[in-house]
Amino acid sequence: MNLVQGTNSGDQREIDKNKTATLMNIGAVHMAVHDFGAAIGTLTEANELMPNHPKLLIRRARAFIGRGEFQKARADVDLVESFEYLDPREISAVQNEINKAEHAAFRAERAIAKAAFSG
Amino acid sequence: MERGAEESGAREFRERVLASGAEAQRNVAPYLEIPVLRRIIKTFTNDTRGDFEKWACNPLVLEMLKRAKSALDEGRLTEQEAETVMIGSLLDGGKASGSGNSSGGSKPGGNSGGKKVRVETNNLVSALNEHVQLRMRGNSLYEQRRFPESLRTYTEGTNWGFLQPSSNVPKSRHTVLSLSWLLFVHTSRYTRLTLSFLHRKRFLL
Repeated sequence: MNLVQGTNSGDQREIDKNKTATLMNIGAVHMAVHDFGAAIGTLTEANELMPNHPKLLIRRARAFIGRGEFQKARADVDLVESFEYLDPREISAVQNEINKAEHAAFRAERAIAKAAFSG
Repeated sequence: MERGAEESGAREFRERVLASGAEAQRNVAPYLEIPVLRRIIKTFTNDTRGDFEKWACNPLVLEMLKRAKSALDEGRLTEQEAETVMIGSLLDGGKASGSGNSSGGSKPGGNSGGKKVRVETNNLVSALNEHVQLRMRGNSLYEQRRFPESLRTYTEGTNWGFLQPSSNVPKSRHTVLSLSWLLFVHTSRYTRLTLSFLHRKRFLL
């Protein structure tokens, strides 16, 4: 796919669409094996090809959650929310995921700090 | 030196053919005696996964070979003619024609290297179909939680499974093409010109 170029903009768009879809799939596989860094890289590449695809941004937000990069996750979700394209319940679910993961990360950090200073 | 490399290449090719299954050997056997077709078959050995049989047992590939052979047998095209045209084309700067051609311009979408292949709409459709099939296979593997295989399939889709030079083969030489592209393009200029020549003669499509 990297080596193919359409002869007109319509064809090129079709090629890019297919490549984006494939990159999104690759991102999903990386996430399934908890390789969130690779997932973010792949999804960012896809986003460069087809910017601001709502599903792509939501997926990347979840990858950011996996990496503990909550601000970036929120930024992606906020952007999707601004499009008013996806079901608000879906957006709300991801926002909840971010809050929950952030809270869990905070608790874990606090526990580590407590353990470090309790000795 | 060159002769030695040629002999070694021929020996390697023979070994690869002999190592393949009986069906694959039977399929390619009638075409091996024709140098032009043998060169095309030789490119099958450069499959990224070393899967010679995948190509040698592919009905569309076999159909293409059959039609090319029949054209040569019936005198509509001679090997000499093919050679002359190919050499002429090479001296002419290798102006590839036909439905697809390669150029060394900027990378599409700023992606990985290699020559770009410009593809006409009608040819793009079959290639995209093939690509969608790869994705569907990847999806199915993903659902089965076979993630490594799924990733491999998707990656193959991203690379579109073609024009990936094998590590031990010089880039300018034989490279396996995905079926849809086999008829149109090739990184090996020599074979590409053969194919484009055959295509011009309307034997292949």
